[in-house]
Amino acid sequence: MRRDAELYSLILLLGVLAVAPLFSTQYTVRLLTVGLLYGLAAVGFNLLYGYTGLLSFGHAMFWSAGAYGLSIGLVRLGLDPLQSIGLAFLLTLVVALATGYLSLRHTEIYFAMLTLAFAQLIYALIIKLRDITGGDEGIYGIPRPMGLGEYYYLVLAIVALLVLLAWWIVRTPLGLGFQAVRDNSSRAASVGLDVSRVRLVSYVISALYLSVAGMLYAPLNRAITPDIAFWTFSAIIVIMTIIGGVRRVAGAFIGGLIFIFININAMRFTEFWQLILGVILAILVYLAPEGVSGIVEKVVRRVKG
Amino acid sequence: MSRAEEVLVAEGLHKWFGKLHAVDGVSFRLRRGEVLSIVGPNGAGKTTLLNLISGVVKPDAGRVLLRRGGELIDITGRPPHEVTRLGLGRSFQIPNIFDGLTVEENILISLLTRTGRTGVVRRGYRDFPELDEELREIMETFGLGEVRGRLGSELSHGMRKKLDIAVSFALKPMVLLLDEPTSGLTQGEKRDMVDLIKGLRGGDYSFIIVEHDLDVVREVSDSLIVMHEGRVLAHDEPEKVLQMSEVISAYLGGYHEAIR
Repeated sequence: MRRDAELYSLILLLGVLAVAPLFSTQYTVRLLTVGLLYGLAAVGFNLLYGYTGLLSFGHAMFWSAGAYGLSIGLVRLGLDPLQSIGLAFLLTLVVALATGYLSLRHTEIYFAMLTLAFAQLIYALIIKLRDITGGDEGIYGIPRPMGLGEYYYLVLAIVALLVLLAWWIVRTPLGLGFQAVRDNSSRAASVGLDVSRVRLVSYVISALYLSVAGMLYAPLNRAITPDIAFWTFSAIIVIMTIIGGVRRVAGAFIGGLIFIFININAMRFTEFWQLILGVILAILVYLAPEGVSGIVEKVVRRVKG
Repeated sequence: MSRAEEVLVAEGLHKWFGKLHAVDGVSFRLRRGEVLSIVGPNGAGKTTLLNLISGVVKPDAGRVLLRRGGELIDITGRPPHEVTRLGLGRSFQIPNIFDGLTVEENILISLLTRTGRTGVVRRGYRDFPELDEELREIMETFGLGEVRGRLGSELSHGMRKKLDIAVSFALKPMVLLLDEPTSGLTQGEKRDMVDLIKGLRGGDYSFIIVEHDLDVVREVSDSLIVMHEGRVLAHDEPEKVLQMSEVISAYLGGYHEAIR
């Protein structure tokens, strides 16, 4: 395999994350787990945004499809874990194919607004379908099959696998097709790429990433509430990806981890932590539109000469 | 000119944009190996004609037929990616490339789609040694070898033009449409482009070239169409058509002088 700085950075980062719990409190391990899941969500979102050029403003719906699908299976229907995971995937695919089919007829801001609208529709459904979803109270008593310490490693293993898979996907002909459609969709068609199909494939893969993150999130928290389906969570997914950097898989992943770090530390000082987040985001967009990973790359290049 | 078989036929193509009759009953036949140039003033409908042929715009009337093995099949109104896969490549007036990808990757996309590998996920896109030689050859032919690792966005206008054509050429199309391949090029680059087209012609490729520069047209074409207000004014061997220039310049109100 070719030398690839991004792959080495990812492996290094995952290695650090593997030993991190040894030096952490229970509380920090929980946060790290959420960080991993946010990182996974950002990586999945970025396959669609950074690599295929489609800004979705409704990705919370896929995280929710995973989390609610699993929880409904486990708690409401009394299914076993495998069946519940199956149900969650099925739900995600239905939501992704339906909303993808309808929203991918458009691009840019129209696509963003359509995904936002569909996500809010899902949110409304979750609130209304009380008997199944618990309405605004959500679903409680979701079992976690193991202790927090062990669960962290289960999450890490799955996240590592999927992040490396994303790293791989963007290096395959399929991923090159994503990037071609992102750069120039009319040209992509005139080299023989079926642009709508490429977009739908990217959309569904991206949705599945979010769904897995949501599925792993529900047992971590042991409870889910509809705020994971609200549009502000979609915005968080966009924001953390931009913080990390959209040009790389590793960038998005780091973005998720950084977001949790900012969130926790800023919250310690002020209840207006979103103000701090806003300032950081504004500074990044102005000074380093390629995000934190872009800054790191520049520094490394300069050090190397 | 040899009477080789027809590879592309346009029959009575019409396109209206509102009240503008952009393409008004255009018919022609293109033979294997032929280089057909199209000239005409701005707004004559040349680019629209290319768009009708390549599926970017649907004609309001008329048909486009493309050779597929032993027969001519109707490709009218098919979407661009299908038309491309059937063997019709095209380059654009404003270079149309993938800015975020390297020169190599730009060309590689065409090689991958042509060989039906667009959906592959089991191999990296750089791990097709069977495509490497062709990739290298194309970059050499188009003088892009030295910039192979540069991003599309980092190229000069002339390089972008070349890359645009290289991307289409890598599809090994039966028919290649070139929209103003020399526009915006320096004299030296223009010379290179003419040599390039002359090097590619002959053999199995056929070309339809929209071009303003009559010296270029004279040098590379087997036949020439003059378009005006959506219609074909003349269609014959270049020298014959250009000798009719008295008539044409009268018709076009000094267009002939203006483009010199």
